[in-house]
Amino acid sequence: MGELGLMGIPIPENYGGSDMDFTSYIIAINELAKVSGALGVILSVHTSVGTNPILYFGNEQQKEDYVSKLATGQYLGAFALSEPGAGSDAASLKTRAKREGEYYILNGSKVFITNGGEADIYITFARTSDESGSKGISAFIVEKDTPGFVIGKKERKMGLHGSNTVSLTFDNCKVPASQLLGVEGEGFKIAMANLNVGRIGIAAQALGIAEAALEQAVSYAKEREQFGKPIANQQGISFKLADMATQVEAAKLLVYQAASLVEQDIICNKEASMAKLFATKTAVQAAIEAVQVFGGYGYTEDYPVERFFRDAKVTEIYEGTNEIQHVVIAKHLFM
Amino acid sequence: MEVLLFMKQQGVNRGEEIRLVLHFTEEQKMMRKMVRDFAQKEVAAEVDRMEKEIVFRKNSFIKWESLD
Repeated sequence: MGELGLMGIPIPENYGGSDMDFTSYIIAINELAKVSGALGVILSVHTSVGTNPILYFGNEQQKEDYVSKLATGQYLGAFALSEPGAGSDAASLKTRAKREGEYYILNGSKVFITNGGEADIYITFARTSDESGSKGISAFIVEKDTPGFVIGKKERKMGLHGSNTVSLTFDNCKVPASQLLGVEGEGFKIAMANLNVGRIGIAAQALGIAEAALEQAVSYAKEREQFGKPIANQQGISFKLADMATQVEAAKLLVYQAASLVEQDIICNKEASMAKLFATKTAVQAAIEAVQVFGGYGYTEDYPVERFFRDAKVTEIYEGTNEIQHVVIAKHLFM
Repeated sequence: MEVLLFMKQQGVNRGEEIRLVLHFTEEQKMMRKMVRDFAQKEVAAEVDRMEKEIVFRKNSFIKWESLD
Protein backbone atom coordinates (compact mmCIF):
# COMPACT_ATOMS: atom_id res chain seq x y z
CA MET A 1 0.00 0.00 0.00
CA GLY A 2 2.91 2.28 0.74
CA GLU A 3 4.40 1.60 -2.68
CA LEU A 4 1.11 2.43 -4.32
CA GLY A 5 1.10 5.74 -2.47
CA LEU A 6 -2.05 4.87 -0.54
CA MET A 7 -0.64 5.73 2.88
CA GLY A 8 -0.26 9.40 2.04
CA ILE A 9 -2.80 10.16 -0.67
CA PRO A 10 -3.64 13.75 0.36
CA ILE A 11 -0.21 14.49 1.83
CA PRO A 12 2.00 16.99 -0.08
CA GLU A 13 4.73 15.52 -2.24
CA ASN A 14 7.52 17.27 -0.32
CA TYR A 15 6.52 15.17 2.71
CA GLY A 16 6.51 11.92 0.74
CA GLY A 17 2.80 11.93 -0.03
CA SER A 18 0.94 11.45 -3.29
CA ASP A 19 -0.35 15.03 -3.21
CA MET A 20 -3.75 14.02 -4.53
CA ASP A 21 -7.14 15.51 -3.76
CA PHE A 22 -9.33 14.55 -0.82
CA THR A 23 -11.87 12.79 -3.03
CA SER A 24 -9.16 10.43 -4.28
CA TYR A 25 -8.41 9.55 -0.67
CA ILE A 26 -12.09 8.85 -0.03
CA ILE A 27 -12.26 6.72 -3.19
CA ALA A 28 -9.35 4.63 -1.88
CA ILE A 29 -11.05 3.97 1.48
CA ASN A 30 -14.31 3.22 -0.30
CA GLU A 31 -12.71 0.69 -2.65
CA LEU A 32 -10.59 -1.00 0.04
CA ALA A 33 -13.63 -1.37 2.31
CA LYS A 34 -15.55 -3.21 -0.40
CA VAL A 35 -13.06 -6.03 0.08
CA SER A 36 -11.86 -5.44 3.64
CA GLY A 37 -13.64 -3.13 6.05
CA ALA A 38 -10.62 -3.53 8.31
CA LEU A 39 -8.19 -2.07 5.78
CA GLY A 40 -10.64 0.76 5.18
CA VAL A 41 -10.51 1.88 8.81
CA ILE A 42 -6.77 1.27 9.09
CA LEU A 43 -6.15 3.69 6.23
CA SER A 44 -8.73 6.19 7.46
CA VAL A 45 -7.31 6.38 10.99
CA HIS A 46 -3.71 6.38 9.78
CA THR A 47 -4.30 9.36 7.50
CA SER A 48 -7.05 11.49 8.99
CA VAL A 49 -6.11 11.38 12.66
CA GLY A 50 -2.68 9.70 12.66
CA THR A 51 -0.94 11.89 10.07
CA ASN A 52 -2.99 15.03 9.45
CA PRO A 53 -2.58 16.47 12.98
CA ILE A 54 1.20 16.54 12.50
CA LEU A 55 0.89 17.95 9.00
CA TYR A 56 -1.44 20.74 10.12
CA PHE A 57 -0.20 21.48 13.63
CA GLY A 58 3.34 20.14 13.81
CA ASN A 59 6.46 22.26 13.61
CA GLU A 60 8.86 21.79 10.70
CA GLN A 61 11.06 19.36 12.64
CA GLN A 62 8.07 17.19 13.57
CA LYS A 63 6.88 17.18 9.97
CA GLU A 64 10.33 16.16 8.78
CA ASP A 65 10.65 13.47 11.44
CA TYR A 66 7.23 11.88 11.03
CA VAL A 67 5.08 12.93 8.09
CA SER A 68 7.35 11.47 5.40
CA LYS A 69 7.56 8.14 7.21
CA LEU A 70 3.79 8.08 7.71
CA ALA A 71 3.00 9.11 4.15
CA THR A 72 5.14 6.35 2.68
CA GLY A 73 3.87 3.63 4.99
CA GLN A 74 7.17 3.24 6.81
CA TYR A 75 5.28 4.31 9.94
CA LEU A 76 1.71 3.56 10.88
CA GLY A 77 -0.22 6.20 12.82
CA ALA A 78 -2.83 6.00 15.60
CA PHE A 79 -4.93 8.41 17.63
CA ALA A 80 -5.30 8.12 21.39
CA LEU A 81 -8.19 10.23 22.64
CA SER A 82 -10.90 7.95 24.11
CA GLU A 83 -10.63 6.87 27.73
CA PRO A 84 -12.63 4.49 29.91
CA GLY A 85 -14.68 7.45 31.19
CA ALA A 86 -14.39 9.73 28.16
CA GLY A 87 -15.97 8.49 24.96
CA SER A 88 -18.45 10.81 23.25
CA ASP A 89 -17.61 13.36 25.97
CA ALA A 90 -13.96 13.40 24.94
CA ALA A 91 -13.23 16.67 26.74
CA SER A 92 -13.67 14.93 30.08
CA LEU A 93 -10.47 12.94 29.59
CA LYS A 94 -8.33 12.39 32.68
CA THR A 95 -4.90 11.41 31.39
CA ARG A 96 -2.40 13.90 32.84
CA ALA A 97 0.80 15.34 31.41
CA LYS A 98 3.10 17.11 33.84
CA ARG A 99 6.06 19.13 32.61
CA GLU A 100 9.35 18.16 34.26
CA GLY A 101 12.32 19.88 32.68
CA GLU A 102 12.68 18.79 29.07
CA TYR A 103 9.99 16.13 29.38
CA TYR A 104 6.29 15.68 29.97
CA ILE A 105 5.37 12.81 32.26
CA LEU A 106 2.13 11.20 31.14
CA ASN A 107 -0.11 9.10 33.38
CA GLY A 108 -3.47 7.60 32.50
CA SER A 109 -5.10 5.17 30.14
CA LYS A 110 -6.76 5.09 26.74
CA VAL A 111 -9.20 2.64 25.21
CA PHE A 112 -10.38 1.48 21.78
CA ILE A 113 -7.26 2.60 19.97
CA THR A 114 -7.42 1.59 16.31
CA ASN A 115 -4.07 0.46 14.82
CA GLY A 116 -2.83 0.11 18.41
CA GLY A 117 0.03 -2.30 18.90
CA GLU A 118 1.16 -2.02 15.29
CA ALA A 119 1.33 1.76 15.09
CA ASP A 120 4.67 3.52 15.40
CA ILE A 121 3.32 6.82 16.70
CA TYR A 122 0.25 7.77 18.71
CA ILE A 123 -1.29 11.24 18.65
CA THR A 124 -2.10 11.35 22.35
CA PHE A 125 -4.22 13.79 24.32
CA ALA A 126 -3.62 14.62 27.97
CA ARG A 127 -4.51 17.31 30.44
CA THR A 128 -1.66 19.75 31.15
CA SER A 129 -3.55 22.03 33.53
CA ASP A 130 -6.37 21.86 36.03
CA GLU A 131 -8.80 23.74 33.81
CA SER A 132 -11.94 21.77 33.19
CA GLY A 133 -13.49 20.61 29.93
CA SER A 134 -11.73 21.17 26.65
CA LYS A 135 -9.36 23.78 28.10
CA GLY A 136 -6.00 22.61 29.33
CA ILE A 137 -5.78 19.60 27.03
CA SER A 138 -2.57 19.19 25.05
CA ALA A 139 -1.57 16.89 22.19
CA PHE A 140 1.63 14.85 22.00
CA ILE A 141 3.33 12.64 19.47
CA VAL A 142 4.16 9.51 21.46
CA GLU A 143 6.49 6.98 19.88
CA LYS A 144 5.79 3.30 20.53
CA ASP A 145 9.10 2.70 22.31
CA THR A 146 8.75 5.59 24.76
CA PRO A 147 9.54 4.47 28.36
CA GLY A 148 6.32 4.02 30.35
CA PHE A 149 4.17 3.54 27.26
CA VAL A 150 2.40 0.19 27.56
CA ILE A 151 0.27 -1.54 24.95
CA GLY A 152 -2.59 -3.16 26.81
CA LYS A 153 -5.38 -5.58 26.15
CA LYS A 154 -6.24 -6.40 22.56
CA GLU A 155 -10.00 -6.23 22.23
CA ARG A 156 -11.83 -9.27 20.89
CA LYS A 157 -14.41 -7.58 18.76
CA MET A 158 -17.60 -8.54 16.99
CA GLY A 159 -16.13 -7.52 13.63
CA LEU A 160 -13.26 -5.80 11.87
CA HIS A 161 -11.03 -8.65 13.00
CA GLY A 162 -8.28 -7.54 10.67
CA SER A 163 -7.91 -4.24 12.49
CA ASN A 164 -6.21 -4.00 15.88
CA THR A 165 -8.00 -2.29 18.72
CA VAL A 166 -6.14 -2.04 22.02
CA SER A 167 -6.04 -0.17 25.29
CA LEU A 168 -2.99 1.87 26.26
CA THR A 169 -1.45 2.71 29.61
CA PHE A 170 0.81 5.66 30.30
CA ASP A 171 2.78 4.81 33.42
CA ASN A 172 5.06 7.75 34.11
CA CYS A 173 5.54 7.82 30.37
CA LYS A 174 8.46 10.15 29.65
CA VAL A 175 7.73 12.11 26.50
CA PRO A 176 10.30 14.69 25.30
CA ALA A 177 8.88 18.22 25.42
CA SER A 178 9.76 18.51 21.74
CA GLN A 179 6.95 16.02 21.08
CA LEU A 180 4.28 18.51 22.15
CA LEU A 181 2.06 19.03 19.12
CA GLY A 182 0.94 22.61 18.59
CA VAL A 183 0.43 24.90 21.57
CA GLU A 184 0.18 23.63 25.16
CA GLY A 185 -3.45 23.74 26.33
CA GLU A 186 -4.87 23.84 22.83
CA GLY A 187 -4.82 20.15 22.07
CA PHE A 188 -8.56 19.79 21.96
CA LYS A 189 -8.66 22.01 18.89
CA ILE A 190 -6.30 19.55 17.23
CA ALA A 191 -8.57 16.67 18.21
CA MET A 192 -11.58 18.40 16.74
CA ALA A 193 -9.87 19.84 13.66
CA ASN A 194 -9.87 16.60 11.74
CA LEU A 195 -13.29 15.40 12.81
CA ASN A 196 -14.93 16.05 9.47
CA VAL A 197 -12.16 14.37 7.56
CA GLY A 198 -12.34 11.38 9.89
CA ARG A 199 -16.11 11.15 9.69
CA ILE A 200 -16.16 11.23 5.91
CA GLY A 201 -13.48 8.54 5.92
CA ILE A 202 -15.64 6.26 8.05
CA ALA A 203 -18.64 7.11 5.90
CA ALA A 204 -16.62 5.94 2.88
CA GLN A 205 -15.69 2.76 4.71
CA ALA A 206 -19.37 2.13 5.50
CA LEU A 207 -20.31 2.87 1.91
CA GLY A 208 -17.82 0.25 0.74
CA ILE A 209 -19.30 -2.37 3.06
CA ALA A 210 -22.83 -1.50 1.89
CA GLU A 211 -21.84 -1.71 -1.78
CA ALA A 212 -20.18 -5.08 -1.22
CA ALA A 213 -23.28 -6.39 0.60
CA LEU A 214 -25.51 -5.24 -2.25
CA GLU A 215 -23.24 -6.76 -4.89
CA GLN A 216 -23.14 -10.11 -3.10
CA ALA A 217 -26.90 -10.12 -2.54
CA VAL A 218 -27.69 -9.34 -6.20
CA SER A 219 -25.26 -11.96 -7.43
CA TYR A 220 -26.64 -14.62 -5.11
CA ALA A 221 -30.25 -13.74 -5.90
CA LYS A 222 -29.59 -14.33 -9.58
CA GLU A 223 -28.08 -17.78 -8.93
CA ARG A 224 -30.22 -19.16 -6.13
CA GLU A 225 -33.37 -20.86 -7.36
CA GLN A 226 -36.49 -21.55 -5.31
CA PHE A 227 -39.95 -22.47 -6.56
CA GLY A 228 -38.44 -23.14 -9.99
CA LYS A 229 -36.90 -19.73 -10.61
CA PRO A 230 -34.11 -17.49 -9.34
CA ILE A 231 -35.08 -15.74 -6.11
CA ALA A 232 -34.23 -12.45 -7.89
CA ASN A 233 -37.51 -13.01 -9.75
CA GLN A 234 -39.44 -13.15 -6.47
CA GLN A 235 -40.82 -9.75 -5.70
CA GLY A 236 -40.08 -10.11 -1.99
CA ILE A 237 -36.37 -10.30 -2.86
CA SER A 238 -36.23 -7.94 -5.84
CA PHE A 239 -37.96 -5.15 -3.92
CA LYS A 240 -35.55 -5.67 -1.04
CA LEU A 241 -32.62 -5.35 -3.45
CA ALA A 242 -34.18 -2.26 -5.01
CA ASP A 243 -34.40 -0.63 -1.59
CA MET A 244 -30.81 -1.55 -0.82
CA ALA A 245 -29.61 -0.10 -4.13
CA THR A 246 -31.49 3.15 -3.50
CA GLN A 247 -30.01 3.54 -0.03
CA VAL A 248 -26.52 2.80 -1.32
CA GLU A 249 -26.86 5.36 -4.09
CA ALA A 250 -28.08 8.01 -1.68
CA ALA A 251 -25.21 7.25 0.70
CA LYS A 252 -22.74 7.54 -2.16
CA LEU A 253 -24.04 10.99 -3.07
CA LEU A 254 -23.82 12.20 0.53
CA VAL A 255 -20.30 10.82 1.01
CA TYR A 256 -18.88 12.31 -2.18
CA GLN A 257 -20.72 15.59 -1.71
CA ALA A 258 -19.10 15.93 1.72
CA ALA A 259 -15.71 15.02 0.23
CA SER A 260 -16.17 17.64 -2.45
CA LEU A 261 -16.93 20.28 0.17
CA VAL A 262 -13.75 19.46 2.10
CA GLU A 263 -11.82 19.73 -1.13
CA GLN A 264 -13.28 23.18 -1.75
CA ASP A 265 -12.45 24.27 1.82
CA ILE A 266 -16.14 24.78 2.54
CA ILE A 267 -17.19 24.29 6.16
CA CYS A 268 -19.19 21.08 6.14
CA ASN A 269 -19.76 19.85 9.69
CA LYS A 270 -23.41 19.18 8.93
CA GLU A 271 -22.75 17.46 5.60
CA ALA A 272 -19.95 15.32 7.08
CA SER A 273 -22.24 14.23 9.91
CA MET A 274 -25.08 13.52 7.49
CA ALA A 275 -22.78 11.44 5.31
CA LYS A 276 -21.48 9.50 8.31
CA LEU A 277 -24.94 8.99 9.79
CA PHE A 278 -26.60 7.87 6.58
CA ALA A 279 -23.78 5.78 5.12
CA THR A 280 -23.24 3.85 8.35
CA LYS A 281 -26.96 3.18 8.80
CA THR A 282 -27.06 2.06 5.19
CA ALA A 283 -24.13 -0.30 5.75
CA VAL A 284 -25.82 -1.97 8.71
CA GLN A 285 -29.16 -2.23 6.94
CA ALA A 286 -27.66 -3.48 3.67
CA ALA A 287 -25.64 -6.11 5.52
CA ILE A 288 -28.70 -7.30 7.45
CA GLU A 289 -30.72 -7.55 4.24
CA ALA A 290 -27.89 -9.31 2.43
CA VAL A 291 -27.84 -11.98 5.15
CA GLN A 292 -31.60 -12.29 4.69
CA VAL A 293 -31.28 -12.73 0.92
CA PHE A 294 -28.72 -15.50 1.49
CA GLY A 295 -31.07 -17.18 3.98
CA GLY A 296 -29.44 -19.86 6.13
CA TYR A 297 -26.22 -19.67 4.11
CA GLY A 298 -25.91 -16.01 4.98
CA TYR A 299 -25.64 -16.95 8.62
CA THR A 300 -22.59 -19.12 7.98
CA GLU A 301 -18.95 -18.15 7.56
CA ASP A 302 -18.98 -19.71 4.10
CA TYR A 303 -20.18 -16.42 2.64
CA PRO A 304 -18.88 -12.92 3.33
CA VAL A 305 -22.22 -11.33 4.18
CA GLU A 306 -22.05 -12.36 7.84
CA ARG A 307 -18.69 -10.54 8.00
CA PHE A 308 -20.21 -7.45 6.42
CA PHE A 309 -22.90 -7.56 9.09
CA ARG A 310 -20.32 -7.75 11.90
CA ASP A 311 -18.02 -5.18 10.31
CA ALA A 312 -20.79 -2.67 9.59
CA LYS A 313 -22.06 -2.25 13.14
CA VAL A 314 -19.06 -0.44 14.57
CA THR A 315 -19.23 2.24 11.88
CA GLU A 316 -22.27 3.55 13.74
CA ILE A 317 -20.21 3.77 16.91
CA TYR A 318 -16.69 5.04 16.26
CA GLU A 319 -15.50 8.40 14.92
CA GLY A 320 -18.43 9.98 16.74
CA THR A 321 -21.44 7.79 17.50
CA ASN A 322 -24.49 8.27 15.33
CA GLU A 323 -26.19 9.88 18.32
CA ILE A 324 -23.45 12.54 18.21
CA GLN A 325 -24.03 12.96 14.45
CA HIS A 326 -27.69 13.62 15.23
CA VAL A 327 -26.64 16.28 17.74
CA VAL A 328 -24.42 18.00 15.15
CA ILE A 329 -27.08 17.92 12.44
CA ALA A 330 -29.87 19.07 14.78
CA LYS A 331 -27.70 21.96 16.00
CA HIS A 332 -27.38 23.21 12.41
CA LEU A 333 -31.15 23.17 11.97
CA PHE A 334 -31.53 25.83 14.65
CA MET A 335 -28.55 28.04 13.84
CA MET B 1 -21.20 15.61 -16.62
CA GLU B 2 -24.23 15.92 -18.88
CA VAL B 3 -26.31 16.92 -15.88
CA LEU B 4 -23.84 19.67 -15.01
CA LEU B 5 -23.94 20.95 -18.59
CA PHE B 6 -27.73 20.88 -18.58
CA MET B 7 -27.82 22.80 -15.31
CA LYS B 8 -25.47 25.42 -16.67
CA GLN B 9 -27.56 25.75 -19.82
CA GLN B 10 -30.59 26.23 -17.62
CA GLY B 11 -28.82 28.96 -15.73
CA VAL B 12 -28.57 26.84 -12.60
CA ASN B 13 -25.12 27.50 -11.27
CA ARG B 14 -25.58 27.97 -7.56
CA GLY B 15 -23.20 25.96 -5.44
CA GLU B 16 -25.97 24.00 -3.75
CA GLU B 17 -27.11 22.37 -6.98
CA ILE B 18 -23.69 21.82 -8.49
CA ARG B 19 -22.50 20.06 -5.36
CA LEU B 20 -24.98 17.27 -6.05
CA VAL B 21 -23.32 16.26 -9.30
CA LEU B 22 -21.12 13.21 -8.81
CA HIS B 23 -18.33 13.39 -11.31
CA PHE B 24 -14.87 11.87 -10.97
CA THR B 25 -11.87 13.36 -12.71
CA GLU B 26 -9.61 11.13 -14.82
CA GLU B 27 -7.10 11.10 -11.95
CA GLN B 28 -9.78 9.99 -9.51
CA LYS B 29 -10.94 7.27 -11.90
CA MET B 30 -7.35 6.03 -12.11
CA MET B 31 -7.14 5.94 -8.34
CA ARG B 32 -10.37 3.94 -8.20
CA LYS B 33 -9.09 1.43 -10.73
CA MET B 34 -5.71 1.09 -9.05
CA VAL B 35 -7.18 0.48 -5.58
CA ARG B 36 -9.88 -1.79 -6.95
CA ASP B 37 -7.27 -3.94 -8.71
CA PHE B 38 -5.05 -4.00 -5.64
CA ALA B 39 -7.96 -4.94 -3.38
CA GLN B 40 -9.11 -7.73 -5.65
CA LYS B 41 -5.66 -9.14 -6.41
CA GLU B 42 -3.86 -8.71 -3.12
CA VAL B 43 -6.26 -8.00 -0.30
CA ALA B 44 -9.09 -10.42 -1.12
CA ALA B 45 -6.76 -13.38 -0.66
CA GLU B 46 -5.73 -12.12 2.78
CA VAL B 47 -9.17 -11.37 4.21
CA ASP B 48 -9.82 -14.87 5.53
CA ARG B 49 -6.41 -15.00 7.20
CA MET B 50 -6.97 -11.59 8.81
CA GLU B 51 -10.34 -12.79 10.09
CA LYS B 52 -8.94 -15.99 11.56
CA GLU B 53 -5.86 -14.48 13.13
CA ILE B 54 -8.00 -11.68 14.55
CA VAL B 55 -5.09 -9.36 14.26
CA PHE B 56 -3.60 -6.88 11.88
CA ARG B 57 0.13 -7.16 11.49
CA LYS B 58 2.12 -4.35 10.05
CA ASN B 59 4.53 -6.83 8.48
CA SER B 60 1.68 -8.11 6.33
CA PHE B 61 1.14 -4.56 5.33
CA ILE B 62 4.78 -4.16 4.39
CA LYS B 63 4.62 -7.41 2.48
CA TRP B 64 1.69 -6.08 0.49
CA GLU B 65 3.62 -2.90 0.08
CA SER B 66 6.39 -4.76 -1.70
CA LEU B 67 4.11 -6.51 -4.17
CA ASP B 68 3.96 -5.21 -7.71
